[in-house]
Amino acid sequence: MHEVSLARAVVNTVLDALKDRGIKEQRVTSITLRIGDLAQVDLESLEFAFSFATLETELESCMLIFTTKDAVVMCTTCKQQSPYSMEHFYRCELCGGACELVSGKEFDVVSIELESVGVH
Amino acid sequence: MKQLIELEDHILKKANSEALLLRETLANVGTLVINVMSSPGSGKTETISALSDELRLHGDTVAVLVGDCATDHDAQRLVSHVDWVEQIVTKGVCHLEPRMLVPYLPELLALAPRYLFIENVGNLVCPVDFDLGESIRVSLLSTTEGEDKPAKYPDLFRTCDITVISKIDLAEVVEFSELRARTFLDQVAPNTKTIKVSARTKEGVAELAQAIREVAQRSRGFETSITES
Ligand SMILES: Nc1nc2c(ncn2[C@@H]2O[C@H](COP(=O)(O)OP(=O)(O)OP(=O)(O)O)[C@@H](O)[C@H]2O)c(=O)[nH]1
Ligand SMILES: [Mg+2]
Ligand SMILES: [Zn+2]
Repeated sequence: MHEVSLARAVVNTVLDALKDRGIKEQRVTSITLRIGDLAQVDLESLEFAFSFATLETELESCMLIFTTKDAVVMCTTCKQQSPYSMEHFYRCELCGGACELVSGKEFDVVSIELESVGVH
Repeated sequence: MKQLIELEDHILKKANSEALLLRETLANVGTLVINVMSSPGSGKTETISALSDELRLHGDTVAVLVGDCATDHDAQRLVSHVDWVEQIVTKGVCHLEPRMLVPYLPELLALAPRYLFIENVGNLVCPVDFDLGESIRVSLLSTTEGEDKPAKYPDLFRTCDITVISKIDLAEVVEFSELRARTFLDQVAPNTKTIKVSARTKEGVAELAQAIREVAQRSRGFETSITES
């Protein structure tokens, strides 16, 4: 259910970007997304939802390319960075201090690839 | 010919800008927005009702927007405890999004309540990533749902300023281990304040109200309204 909203958000973000940049007569062939480990997105479900969200839009039959990002936490006390783990969560494995997430929640449209249409 | 265009846009850019609109305009009229998120049936409606009774005793006005997949049952339960309530029926959508709240903005700005509680759809996953313009996030962990919910759904609890251990009056019968719950909460959400509450006996309701007032006083929007009034 969640992925349907997200697929629609991807479509809106890209369509808005095309409009903002005055891009016309070009077909979007692929969209590259950056998705963090903790973004709570199932890539397969997103892909599936995306194929429906793009029906009858300029993005129909456009490809999704995923790049991922590991979840990393940093201790607010000793500044040690470590991979996020379900053993320690947001507690520092060295000093027990509270940790903050440095990366892992990314959910960005990195880039789009365009192909001219109607140019012969 | 192919051409690559860098965007670097957050996927929820549009939703986030709507959230910003809600946050800024409501802060301007001195309203503190509180997003309440927890599992279905963990006590959101009951706790908001008790909390609102307490806050209104001190002369503050309370508005509630409550989201559910179907029915207006919760709005009907809340109506006698609050100054204003509207039910958002999401028709199956498992979380609230700022666009669902925007239509109520004119009415809310005219009313300018001290507090706006947003009762999210009961769900520990999907509401997390949608900013609704809130200044405080409150989660509930009921004594009846298992002490390890924070470990199973770390993302939600991590983002909350306050975690209410709800239905504390039932702790004994369900053999709730407070130590176990606190151990998980401490790992997952080290900065969250924890308050034990029973919406039945009203244990902890005054303490919860006080905690919210304290955050309110630290929040910029609230200060604005105090200096203005
Ligand atoms: N004993 C006891 N029961 C409670 C307490 N809080 C809520 N309940 C009961 O638990 C049930 C669910 O409470 P709600 O307040 O509807 O829970 P909710 O989180 O709003 O549920 P949804 O909106 O459906 O997600 C109801 O039968 C409440 O009367 C409490 O502190 N003690
Ligand atoms: Mg409810
Ligand atoms: Zn440390």
